[in-house]
Amino acid sequence: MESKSLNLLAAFFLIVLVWFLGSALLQMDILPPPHAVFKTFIVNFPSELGKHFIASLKRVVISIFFAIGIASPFGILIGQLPTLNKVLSPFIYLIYPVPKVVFVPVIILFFGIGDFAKILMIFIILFFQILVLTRDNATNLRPEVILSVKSLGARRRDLFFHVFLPASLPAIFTGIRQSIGTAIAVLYVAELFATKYGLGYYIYLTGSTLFDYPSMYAGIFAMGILGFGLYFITDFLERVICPWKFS
Amino acid sequence: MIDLEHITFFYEKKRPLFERFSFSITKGESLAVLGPSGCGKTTFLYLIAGLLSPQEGKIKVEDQELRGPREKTALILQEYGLLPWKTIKENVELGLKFRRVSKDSLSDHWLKKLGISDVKDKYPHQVSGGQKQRAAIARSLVLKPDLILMDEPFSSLDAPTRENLQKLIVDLHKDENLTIVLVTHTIEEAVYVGQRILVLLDPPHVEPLVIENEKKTIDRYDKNFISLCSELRSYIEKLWNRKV
Repeated sequence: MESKSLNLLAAFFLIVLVWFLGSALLQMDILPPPHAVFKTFIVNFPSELGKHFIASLKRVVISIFFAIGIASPFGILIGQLPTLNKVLSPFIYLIYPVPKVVFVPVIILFFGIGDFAKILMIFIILFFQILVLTRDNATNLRPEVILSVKSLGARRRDLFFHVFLPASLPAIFTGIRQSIGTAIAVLYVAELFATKYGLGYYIYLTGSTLFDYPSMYAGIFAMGILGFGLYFITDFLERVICPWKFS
Repeated sequence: MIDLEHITFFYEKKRPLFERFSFSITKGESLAVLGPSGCGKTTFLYLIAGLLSPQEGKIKVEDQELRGPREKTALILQEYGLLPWKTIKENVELGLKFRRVSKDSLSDHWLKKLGISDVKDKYPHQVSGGQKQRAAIARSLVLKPDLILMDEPFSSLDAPTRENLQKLIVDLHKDENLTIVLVTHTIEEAVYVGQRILVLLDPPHVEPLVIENEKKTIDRYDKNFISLCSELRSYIEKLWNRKV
């Protein structure tokens, strides 16, 4: 096993150990021991918890898909057209640092409490991160590379698929990786509002309404798996799609 | 083969680099363009490549007015211009792909002839500077060009690699009957590669300053080579001092 995987495994067991000791010391219902939580997770995941997990996963994956599809070509375009960059940069500069979670109530007011509003929220977070990174990447692309490719007979379409897009891929992956944590946090907040499925709803329901703490922790654990899983898949896809970065 | 007819060129809000400048390059000739940084030698190359257009005057290649990059013109740059996300072989075949030409055995031929077939599956960052530049040359040659333009192609290489590649260019010029324009700031390189040397000093350039290199030799220890280099050096220094 690689040393990175071993380190991850060791860190996981250390967290579980601290959790176990904390639970044994406190002896409180609100901190059940890890084995009770894992048991609940294994029992609940194939039925109820799994449905919530899939609902949350679907929302994040759709958001990532649209964020990549819209933000990357837009970022490349801004990066390659100085005039457009000049016009849009002040807007991006103003909006980019605003924590997007504050838009949750605004989006709910405008778009209701359905799936669309939740997906839009995560989309906005990912969109700006990917947009800024791909724009900066496209701006910094060495002009002589573009010139030499043009001199080989590249058309606009060739330049996009052979130069701008592959040059932006690492930035897109970095954008996704940097935003996953925030996106999952916002997903939790978004799923607290009138929904039937989603891990945010499940955690809130089991913890605050049913006082079923092992289930609540199983929901938190599932949310962790969602975040870690997306992070892991992003890393894996980057290795497959950008092999030059790892060779 | 190439005719620059009374061209004027300037970058926006900058003074002209060329003013009603006329110059001709004959087919099969190897021309070295020599000058210090900022004198406009790269611009001269980009104008011939069709990547820039003069504000006044015409550039003709093979009697056709140049209106953009030409299929049979190859451009080789100092920083190689290789795409980091493509392997050496993919980089060499890039032009064939853009021109929708089937990847024939030509790429294998040039990879082999230029001694880089053993690194064809590696990425540019995994090979040496000399190998990268050989890949850039191979990428040009697979397109069967009749004109090769080179912008300080060897300036970032160590001396033995540089001399090796200079010889390769001279051999290619001879064997493939190519027209070569090499931009350089090194007197020795200009004398080694160029049958004629176009000297560009302080812009705007109005009249071309051309030095004939009739006794051109590929022996770097040859008396003619050494004396021409020192003659050229003192000549350019004199001109430079007069301008300054």
